[in-house]
Amino acid sequence: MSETNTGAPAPRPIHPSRRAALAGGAAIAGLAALPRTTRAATVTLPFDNGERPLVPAGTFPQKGEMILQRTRPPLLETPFAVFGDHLYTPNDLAFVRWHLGDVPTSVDPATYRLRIGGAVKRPYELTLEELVRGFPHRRLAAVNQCAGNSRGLIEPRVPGAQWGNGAMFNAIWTGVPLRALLARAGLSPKATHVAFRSLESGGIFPPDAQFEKALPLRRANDGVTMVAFRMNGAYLPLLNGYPLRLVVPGWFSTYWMKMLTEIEVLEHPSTDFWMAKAYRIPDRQDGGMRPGETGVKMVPIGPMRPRSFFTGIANGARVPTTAALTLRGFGFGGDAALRAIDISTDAGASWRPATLGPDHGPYGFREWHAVTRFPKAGDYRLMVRARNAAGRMQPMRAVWNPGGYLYNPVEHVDVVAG
Amino acid sequence: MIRPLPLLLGAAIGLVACAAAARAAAPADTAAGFATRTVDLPSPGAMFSGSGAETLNRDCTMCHSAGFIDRQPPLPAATWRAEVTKMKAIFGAPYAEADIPAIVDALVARQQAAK
Ligand code: HEC
Repeated sequence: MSETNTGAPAPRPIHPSRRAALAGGAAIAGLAALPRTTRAATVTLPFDNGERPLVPAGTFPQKGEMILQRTRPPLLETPFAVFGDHLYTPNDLAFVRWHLGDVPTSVDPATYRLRIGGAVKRPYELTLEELVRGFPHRRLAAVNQCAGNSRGLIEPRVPGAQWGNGAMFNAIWTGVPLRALLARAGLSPKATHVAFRSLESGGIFPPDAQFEKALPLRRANDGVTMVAFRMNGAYLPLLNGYPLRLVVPGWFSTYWMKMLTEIEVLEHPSTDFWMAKAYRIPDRQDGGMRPGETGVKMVPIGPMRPRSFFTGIANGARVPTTAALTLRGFGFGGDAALRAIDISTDAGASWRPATLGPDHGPYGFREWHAVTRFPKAGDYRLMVRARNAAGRMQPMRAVWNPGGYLYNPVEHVDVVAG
Repeated sequence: MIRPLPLLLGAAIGLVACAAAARAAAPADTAAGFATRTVDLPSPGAMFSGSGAETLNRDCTMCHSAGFIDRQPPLPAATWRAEVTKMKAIFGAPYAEADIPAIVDALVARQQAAK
């Protein structure tokens, strides 16, 4: 059994020494110090009606302290400071997002099957053991980010999960390339899409609901998309999709089907609600539209865009005029590798390149740092901007669309020198 | 490990009995090291109290917990109407078409009361 290592190292913290104050996600800093045993901890995300319970570790199975967005079905956000502490998000702090009311609470590996069928020559099914032992493995770092990450920051506001910036996490995934599974089945020449279903189907809340997502065949069969059985070297937490999760590096997590049980090759696009009606964006280069605009052609969301963040520095921080300060953070390129991070200390009037940290492959977080001086006392607006290998750069302003998707404008932090 | 929530937190997020814990699995029937995994999820008290509670508890807590709706941004009545209509048309919420205006009123009034 071969294991292709694409350069992802073992998980390690970014700033092990410091429980970083948060930036780019605002007001959580400071709350970490509250005595959680005696009072209800909350965090206030930086938008109207943004107060959220911070639930203690163990409130949800296999999960640490998380920001509660919804109890049932669970929506749990990763507290932003975690990203300053860990380049690879610990499994118990990885955000959680379910859609339908009756989340499966039990997985039995003895009866669990992965079925591969549809427009193929030889449909078949696998036990977990057969999947793990019968195919080559691939290992890569990739960001799993909700299409609606940061929805709470979008103006005008739209209904849906009101996330801050923590509906994302970075992990090293080990799995079997989907291409190998499709090759064994033998694709029909008429195949165009591949649909995915899971244990989260056939529920009663809502009645008869199923959760189906589908990829264009080219994306499904690119050798990078995989059926993962390990996340940061361990089996997945149940709420993150144990025992198998589709991993679609560079694309939003709506496609990363949890508890994957069924792969069906189609000869047409999926007509399921979650493809045909939900998770759609304007068919335009920037994915945006004007609020209230009509007649806009909508298409399924797909690739992620570049994003970058500060860590370890919060709005209102005091910075010295007498010594250099090293700004830090991380970024990712979306569906193409991160190419450059630029920073500005004058609200975007001028930019200079930051130094990128080690390259762990095109799909994961990458650290950056920049040594900065603040020669004169006063207020400074710091900005960080990512550009990817396809030439796409973070915009200064967020796009708007009715689903609240694709938020990725340049982040800023306001500091006071002196 | 079952850890009860502090009372205040329980109230804040509407959990009745917070019995969420991964039960240790018997490793006997493992496939490639996979273990049977069974978890309990926190069961939401999920109930609204205060403004509009009677209507919203009846019509909006079947498929998702109440806190999710209370965490929505201030929304205009037209947006609430679209949401309540969507819940019925797409997800099969069991209230009648004729009930929708009253539900929308309850949602708008609740957001105003929370201000
Ligand atoms: C029959 C099941 C069901 C009922 C009853 C129901 N909903 Fe929903 N609701 C859903 C589902 C499914 C979603 C999508 C969940 C997700 O994406 O995580 C949803 C999502 C939402 C959202 C987020 C925005 C969106 O459209 O996805 C809001 C707000 C909402 N519901 C409000 C309500 C209100 C208010 C009521 C009561 C009038 C209600 N729901 C009753 C099933 C239901």
